[in-house]
Amino acid sequence: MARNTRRKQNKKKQTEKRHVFPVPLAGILVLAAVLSLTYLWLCGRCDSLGRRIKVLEKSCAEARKLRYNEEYKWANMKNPRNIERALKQHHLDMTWPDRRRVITLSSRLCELDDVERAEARNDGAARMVRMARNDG
Amino acid sequence: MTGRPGWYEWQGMTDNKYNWRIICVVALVMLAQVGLGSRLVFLHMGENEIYRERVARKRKLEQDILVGRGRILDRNGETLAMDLAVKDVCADPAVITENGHVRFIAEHLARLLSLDSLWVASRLNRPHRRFEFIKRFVPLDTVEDVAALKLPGVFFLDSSQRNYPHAGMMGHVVGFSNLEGVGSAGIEQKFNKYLKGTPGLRISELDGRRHEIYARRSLDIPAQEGSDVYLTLDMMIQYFTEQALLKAVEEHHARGAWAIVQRVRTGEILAMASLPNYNLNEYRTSTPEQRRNRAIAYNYEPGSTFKVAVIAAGLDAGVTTPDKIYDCENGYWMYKGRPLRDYHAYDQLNVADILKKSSNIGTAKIALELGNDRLMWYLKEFGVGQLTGVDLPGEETGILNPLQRWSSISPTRIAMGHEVALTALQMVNMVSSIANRGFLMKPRVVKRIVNTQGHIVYESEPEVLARPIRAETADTMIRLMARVTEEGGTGRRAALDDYKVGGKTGSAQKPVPGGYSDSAHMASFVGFLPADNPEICIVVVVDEPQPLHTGGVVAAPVFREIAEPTARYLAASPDGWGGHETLDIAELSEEGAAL
Repeated sequence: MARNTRRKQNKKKQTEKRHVFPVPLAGILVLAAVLSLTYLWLCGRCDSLGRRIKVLEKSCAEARKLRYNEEYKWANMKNPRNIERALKQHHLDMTWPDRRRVITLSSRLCELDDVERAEARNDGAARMVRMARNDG
Repeated sequence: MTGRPGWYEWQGMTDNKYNWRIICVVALVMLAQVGLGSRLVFLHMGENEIYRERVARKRKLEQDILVGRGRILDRNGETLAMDLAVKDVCADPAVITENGHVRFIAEHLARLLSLDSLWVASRLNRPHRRFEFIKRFVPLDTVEDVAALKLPGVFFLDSSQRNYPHAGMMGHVVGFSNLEGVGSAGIEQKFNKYLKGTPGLRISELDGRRHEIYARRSLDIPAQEGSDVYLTLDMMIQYFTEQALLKAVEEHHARGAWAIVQRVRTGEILAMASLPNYNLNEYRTSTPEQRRNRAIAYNYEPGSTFKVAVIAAGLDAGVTTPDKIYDCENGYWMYKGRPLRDYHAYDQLNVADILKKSSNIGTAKIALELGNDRLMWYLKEFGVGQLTGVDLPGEETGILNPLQRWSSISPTRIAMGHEVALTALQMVNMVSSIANRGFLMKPRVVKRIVNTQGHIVYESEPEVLARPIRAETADTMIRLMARVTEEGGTGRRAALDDYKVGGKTGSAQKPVPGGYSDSAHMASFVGFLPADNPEICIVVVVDEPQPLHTGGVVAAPVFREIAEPTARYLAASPDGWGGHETLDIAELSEEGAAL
C-alpha cells in the first residue's frame, strides 16, 4: 500500500511542470557578476598601486634629499683647503709632479689615416693619458 | 492543538497586531527610502551647482611642485653651488607653556642649534602664539638630533637652502641667490633662467582624511629641475690663485689683490680671484666692497704692462723693429713742456730692451711715431675701452678717451699706461691675444649647461673677437716678452724653473683728484707660459702694496706662485699641454706581452 502511494507521488512529480532558470539570463548574470568583481578587483588594485606609487614618490624625494646632503658633504670634503689640512695633520708632504716626472701615454694615432684619427679623437678613444711618476 | 504558548501569545499579541506593525515599519522604511531616493534624484538632476562646487572645492587638490635650482660645477664636475634639503625648527609656544617645559626645551634647543637659551626661552614663552620659528635652514643631521629628544611642541618644516660647499672659493664668479631663490650675483644672476628650473603642477582630489587619491590625479606636470652650469674654471687652479693672493695681501699689507688665469687658445677662464672676498653662505653679512669682483669691475691704470700693446702696435704697423734704437734721454725727457721720467736712467735702448727694461721714454717715442689715429685703432682692436662680453654681470668697459679729448702729450702718457684704464680681464685678454698669434678671443667662464635629462642646452665655443696684430708680430712680441723674465729684466721674479715665461711688469701711481698719488700704487704683472708655445696667460694686480710697490717685486712673485703649481697641475691632467716624455700604449702592451 505504501509502495503504491510512493509511486503515485513520483509520477506526480514527473508530471509536474518544472521551472528551469533560463541559461542566457544565467549567463548574463554570471557575466555581470564577473565584470563587477573584476571592476572591484581593478579598483582595489588601482588604489593599492596608487598608494604604493605615493609611498615610492615620497621615498624617492627623501632619497633625493639624502643624496644632495651626501653630495654636499663630499664636495665639502674635497675642498683643496680641507685636503691640505688633512695632509698636514698626517704629516704628508705632497706636491704636484714637475714635468720631468710626467709620462704621457698615447695610443698609436700615427697608424690611422686622417679621417680615422679625427674620429678616434672625437670619440675619445685615442685620448692622451698622463700619469705622474713619484720616483723622482 | 495543545502545547507551550507562542511568544506572541506570551506577550498577549495577536497575528493581526503583528501584521499591522510590520506593515507600519515597512511603510516607514520605504517612505524614508523614497525620500532619500527622491532627494538623491533631486541632487543629481536638479539645481545642484552650488553643492557640486562646494564638494569639488573641498576635495580638490591643486599643488605647486616646487623645484630646486640647478647646480654650479667647475670644469671637472666639482660642485660649487647646490640646493640642500634642510628643515626649519619650529615650536608651538602654547603647548610648551601649558606643559611648563619652557626652560627645559629652551636649553635643549639652544644646545643643539647653537643658540642663546635665553633667546629661545623668550620665543617659547608666548602662550598665545601657536607658531614660532626657532631656527631656519637647519641641516638634517642636526634635525635628527633634535627629533630624537621628542620634545613636545617642537616640530619641523621641510625647506631647502642654496649652499656653497667651498664657502668663499670662486665666490665672485659663482655669486649667490637670495632667500627667494633668485640669482643675485655672478653666475647665479647671469644664468638664473637656466638655474631656476620650472615648478610643476599637480591637480588631484582628497579623501575624507585629506589624503590625496592617486587614482583621481587628473594633472601631474613634473617639476623641471634647474639645469647644471659647468664653468670653465678649475677648482685647483682657483685654489692656487687664491692662496697666492692671500699671501701677497698679507705680506704687502695691500688693500686688495686680484688675478685671472686664462687659456690663451680658447679664451676660457681657468681661475678668477679677487680679494677681499666673502663667504657665499653668509652673503648677507658681506659688504658691497667684498662683493665686488675687481677682476672685471675695477678700472685701473695699468702702467707699464700696457707698453706691450703700444710696442706690438708699433711693430705691426711697421714703424719700428726690435733692433731699432731709441734715445732714452738718460731717464728725463721734456716733451711739450712736460717732463717724462724713467724709473732707471738709460741712454740708448733698442725696442727689445725698451720692453725688457720698461722704459717710459722709449715707449712714448714709439707711440709718437705710430701717430694718434693708428694708436687708437690698435687699442680698440685690442679691446681697450670695450666690454669683453664675458658671461658675468657687472663688467666695466675700461676708459679710453676719444681722440678729440686727447692732449698733445696723451700718446706719451697712454704709452706708459696712464690716461687709460682697463679691467684685469681686458688686460689678460689683450696679452692672451699676443700669445695666441694675434687672435683676440672672447673670455668665457661657462663651458656648458646641461639639463636634468643630460641634454646640453648651451655650450660655449671659442669665439674670435678681433685680430689686432699679425702672427709674425705676435711671435716677435712673445720673444721680446720672454726676455722680460730673464736676468736683467724687470720680471725675473716671475721666471719658472721648468717653463719659459713671457710677461711684463707694471707699477702705476693711483690717480687722485688733481694728479697722481705718491704713496698709493697698483703693482701688476701679466704673463704667459710656456713662452715657446703659450698655453695659459695670467694677470696679477695688487692694490696699494706697502712699502714695496713695483710690479716686479710685488706682483711677479705672485704670478710665479700661481703659475708654478698650475703648470704642474695642468701638465699632469689629461687636458694639459704636451712637452713630456711620451710612451705609446701599444708599444707598452707589446713589451708587456714579450716579457
